[in-house]
Amino acid sequence: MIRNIDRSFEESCEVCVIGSGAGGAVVAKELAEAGLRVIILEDGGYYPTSSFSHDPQRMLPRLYRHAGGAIIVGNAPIMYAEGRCVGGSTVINAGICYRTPEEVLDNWRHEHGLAELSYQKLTPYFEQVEKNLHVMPVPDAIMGRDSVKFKQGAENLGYRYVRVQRNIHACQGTNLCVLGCPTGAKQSTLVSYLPEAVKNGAQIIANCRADKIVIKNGRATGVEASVVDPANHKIRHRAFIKARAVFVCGGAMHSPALLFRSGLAKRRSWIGRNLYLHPNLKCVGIFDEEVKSWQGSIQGFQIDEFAEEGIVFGSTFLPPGILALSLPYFGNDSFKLMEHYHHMSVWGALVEDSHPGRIWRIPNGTSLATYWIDALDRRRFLRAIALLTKIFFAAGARKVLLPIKNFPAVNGEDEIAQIPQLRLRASDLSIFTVHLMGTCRMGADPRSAVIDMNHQFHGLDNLFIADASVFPTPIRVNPMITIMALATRAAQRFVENRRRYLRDA
Amino acid sequence: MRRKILSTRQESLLAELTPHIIPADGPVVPHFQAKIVQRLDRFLFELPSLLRSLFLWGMRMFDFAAIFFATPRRRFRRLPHPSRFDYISRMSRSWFRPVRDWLFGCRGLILLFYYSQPEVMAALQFDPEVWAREKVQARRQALNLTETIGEVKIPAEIPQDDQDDSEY
Repeated sequence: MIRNIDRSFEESCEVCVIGSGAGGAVVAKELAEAGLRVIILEDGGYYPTSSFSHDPQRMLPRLYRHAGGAIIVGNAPIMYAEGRCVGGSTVINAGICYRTPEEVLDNWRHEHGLAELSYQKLTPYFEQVEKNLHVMPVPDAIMGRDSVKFKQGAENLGYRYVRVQRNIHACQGTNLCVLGCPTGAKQSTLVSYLPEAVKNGAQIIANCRADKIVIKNGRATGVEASVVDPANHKIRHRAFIKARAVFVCGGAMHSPALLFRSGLAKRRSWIGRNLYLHPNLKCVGIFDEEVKSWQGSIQGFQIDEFAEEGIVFGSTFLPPGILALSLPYFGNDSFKLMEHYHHMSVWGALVEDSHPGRIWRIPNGTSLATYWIDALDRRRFLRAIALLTKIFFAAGARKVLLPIKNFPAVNGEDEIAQIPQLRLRASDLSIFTVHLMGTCRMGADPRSAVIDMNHQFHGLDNLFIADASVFPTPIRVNPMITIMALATRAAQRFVENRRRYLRDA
Repeated sequence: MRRKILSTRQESLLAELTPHIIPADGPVVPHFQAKIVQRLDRFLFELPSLLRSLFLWGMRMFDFAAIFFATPRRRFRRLPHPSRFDYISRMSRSWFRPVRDWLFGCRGLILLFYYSQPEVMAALQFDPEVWAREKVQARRQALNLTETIGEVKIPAEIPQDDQDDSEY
């Protein structure tokens, strides 16, 4: 049932959760199951599985923030994509599920004082999340030809690879994950955690943007919000959610922005700093035989041979419109290339950041992300591109299109050696990201962190953050499971200490 | 109703630019110029205001810079057709990054919309609609599932068909 909002309103609850993605949905479900009255505010709209389409023109404005056209500013503009809908980025991601690497957690414990975040102690949370999401290795039955080629490339070169784990339930390999899974097989929070939260009494208010957390006497007392008309972005109604505790789960870009608007930057100077991206580069291989990469799971394998260097490879799928957008051709040149679409496969490299960027507050209440790519990053990107090209040729590709201006393609293995030698500027590379992390980092020391080990804002009793912004460092793998495991832990800690957190001011 | 982002002049510039970006030898999409104006306007509306302003500024620069970089020396909209293509090629390699970046972005958006048209996807042997429909039916039959999320509040003004339109 959909209940319409036709006037400004005020409601009260015990916990207001801001965001319905990997962090917010998990927190809401756990708290609602514990009997707490929960209201979830979601900036984006509610689009059920039955409304998902293969048409990017239609789905990008609905499911993606800024229709997928958001940019991080710096010496190279970096496009980033994040979900803006009920279910957040879990609706539009590939559903790749990795636990946080043990060495990353060791680093968090030793460098950031997060003594309780050992792999062993987090294991029950990982297991709980994986059970709720039906996490499983991609079965052979839905393995696409592009994934098989990717594996062949790795095997021919002797590189170590792993079968990808995904949150899927009876997946048919439709491969439209990035536009919203039309079968409902991908267990985004839209079809997993949120229905459970709602069943236990949680309310979701869609198209409702949190403007400000109201702080009185050292406690969060509620959230001021605006109900926005998605058709014209105009504010229709105002809302005030009176809450005894607030969980901020808006993601690494919008959680700090909300804290800025709430005047909390004065209390914690680390808000907005420590932005990590996992920059992504994509290459396109053209094979002699048909690949039809839209048939089968979006990703079947990952090569982790170079994980110690901070580089991981995987295959992916882009619809023709999005692929054409990323290639540097137009006119007939574009079509001559795109005619081979069914022979193409898109593989990417995820590169670990060497240094952080930052989210800045800008006067209109929004925020701006900046990130500078340095010489070390450039070298690492070129190495990643060269390795990926090598894997393509080992898999039988006859041509590889590169994300490098003035060096757009490689026609044979003998040309690969030129790639690491290229002298180029950061802006000559096409980089994008889907993993924003770290802008409200967790740490034991309030002078260098925003929240403590229980996700509690340093200095405020009843304000919590549970999303990718809490990561102290980049985590080298897809972050969904880490976000969800930490959010589960945060919610369960909250329930254990509810009397303390929910006391009145 | 949302406000329009593109002025009449900008719409006409876009309509003039589009035939030089989409492949002349590719499948013909009826009324594509009208469609692209509408789609791009919608897309620009979704962009952050800073990026949107930069895009519109870039559009003006692209039109105006033709006076200096095209032959004959006229604004883009007044150039003869062969000169337009030369100018676009030259600008795509320009040392002047703002115009180059704008052209790359605008080109990308036009191609995004072009290659998302059913006629064009069919020419690429990509038929996701049939494929997705088969898969949706297969999963429904296998699991006999229905999705319910319970109660979700949304503004009254959202047309219901925008929420419940079943694709497959």
